[in-house]
Amino acid sequence: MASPIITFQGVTAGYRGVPAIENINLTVEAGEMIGIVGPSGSGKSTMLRALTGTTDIYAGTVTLNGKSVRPGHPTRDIGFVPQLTSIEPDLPLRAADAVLQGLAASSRRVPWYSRTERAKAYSLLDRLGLAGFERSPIGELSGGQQQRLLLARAMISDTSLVMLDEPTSGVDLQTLQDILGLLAELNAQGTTIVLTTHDLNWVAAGLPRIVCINRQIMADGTPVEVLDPDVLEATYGARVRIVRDGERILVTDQRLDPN
Amino acid sequence: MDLISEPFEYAFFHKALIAGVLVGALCGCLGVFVVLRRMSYIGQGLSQSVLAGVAPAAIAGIDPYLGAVAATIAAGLLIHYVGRQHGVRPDAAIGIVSTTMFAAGVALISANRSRSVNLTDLLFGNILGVTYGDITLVGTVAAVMALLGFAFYKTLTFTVVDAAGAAAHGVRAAAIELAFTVALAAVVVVSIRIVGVLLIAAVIVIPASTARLVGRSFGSVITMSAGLGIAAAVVGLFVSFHVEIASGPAIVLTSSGAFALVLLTTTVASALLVRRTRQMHSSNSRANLTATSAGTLAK
Repeated sequence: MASPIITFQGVTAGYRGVPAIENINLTVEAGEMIGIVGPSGSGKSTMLRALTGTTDIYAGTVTLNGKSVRPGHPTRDIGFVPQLTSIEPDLPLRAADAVLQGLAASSRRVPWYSRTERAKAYSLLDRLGLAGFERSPIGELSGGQQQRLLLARAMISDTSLVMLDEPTSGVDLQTLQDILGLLAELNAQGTTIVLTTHDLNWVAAGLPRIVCINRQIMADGTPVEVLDPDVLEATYGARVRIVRDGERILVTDQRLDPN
Repeated sequence: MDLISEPFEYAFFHKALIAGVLVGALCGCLGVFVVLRRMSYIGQGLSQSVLAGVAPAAIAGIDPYLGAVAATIAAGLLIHYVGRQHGVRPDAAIGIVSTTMFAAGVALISANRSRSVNLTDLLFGNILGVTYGDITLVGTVAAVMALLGFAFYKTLTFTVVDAAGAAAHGVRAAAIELAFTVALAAVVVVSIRIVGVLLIAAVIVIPASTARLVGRSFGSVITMSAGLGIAAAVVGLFVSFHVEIASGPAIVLTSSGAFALVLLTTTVASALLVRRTRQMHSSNSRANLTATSAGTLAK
């Protein structure tokens, strides 16, 4: 029986006194891979920020590995991949140094990283298909390469939980497949993965568990259970058509329904 | 040879050189983080706020320098606090806090004309009147900054790159940002005596921006920026001595000259690279076209 790595118990959280999510109850077991879906402004990123201690919690409790998360007190138990747009590409920062920043809080308090830490960063870059780019400034990498770089930064601290905010937003099809493959591989090795996404077909439909939110949890279950026209209408306010082909689910515009 | 050795015959030049080198290195290093955080005018803002401390101190008959320290640190904390409020951008916070404090200082001076405040030294600095006490103070601040920079380099650079990501990875990003603002306030206040309120932003921003044009890593940009800050101070002081112009403007103009030179060089180098690439592709296209035409004719 796996133990919960994340729990939300009656959580209301937001920014500057305005709740973005309300009364959220959720349990994520260690080793799970789940996607949080919902429209823009539905509170997907706020759920991740509640876990990182970077949003205000007005009611309820968020726990991570059994310990209560306190706003303003960052935790070291998470590998976090922000949205790509939050990183300015025009920075004097080499790819390997960007990856090593994932160790900044736990590394020795000297301005350089140890040989072992550097070797680990190089090995991660190699594993994520970025061998040869170690000394390249991050601005010279493509969007997909930068996304993989941020994933390497999240992975370098050997955390048991990796959270990704819209990891497939703005990447091409090949990169999207690469990222999903890497996440599945990481999950198979025991890492818990929590990601937010807008992409219901390529990303959410392929995950073992989806949590559908719009300020509150609208549905929680397998793609077959959650990707339902009524659930999606209640969440997004738009009527959609679901095409099922065995295990595969396709969410399309209802106007494309020939009937 | 006299050009180099002659200024050293004067004791004030020795002190000016030491102070200039220390301030150049300090502002050069910190300037990199200021520029990368897009807060280039924070130096100007902090230094302008000094007047809000200098004026009441002079009126109360206590050391104006103590007033300057208090006002600059208060300004740093206020800019940090106001800039984090919803709807207030950091550049607006700098403008609001610094002009308010500057106005308060001017209002106090104008209401108490009997008490004299030496605004000329405050505005333009007086590097040639630097005492060994000033050098000790700048040296102490430089040593503290070096220690802090050594210990917190990794977390500070992560916070500059991605504050939210740093916080998610266990870095106390908000505390780092606050500590950086206070540290910058300390550097500004010790540098004012050397370069003055009006030119402090230049010694913080210009070397860092010059280094940013060519550096490819944080380490290289910081090293170059500190080096450029030191070089501008040394060259500027010699120019000031021989051409007989004020030392503060001489240092800043030297720094600006270096920036213009590097900008010109990088722009020309970039243009040449574009031209070479175009020529290469154009000759490749011609070669392909010739080969295709030859193949068609042969058929």
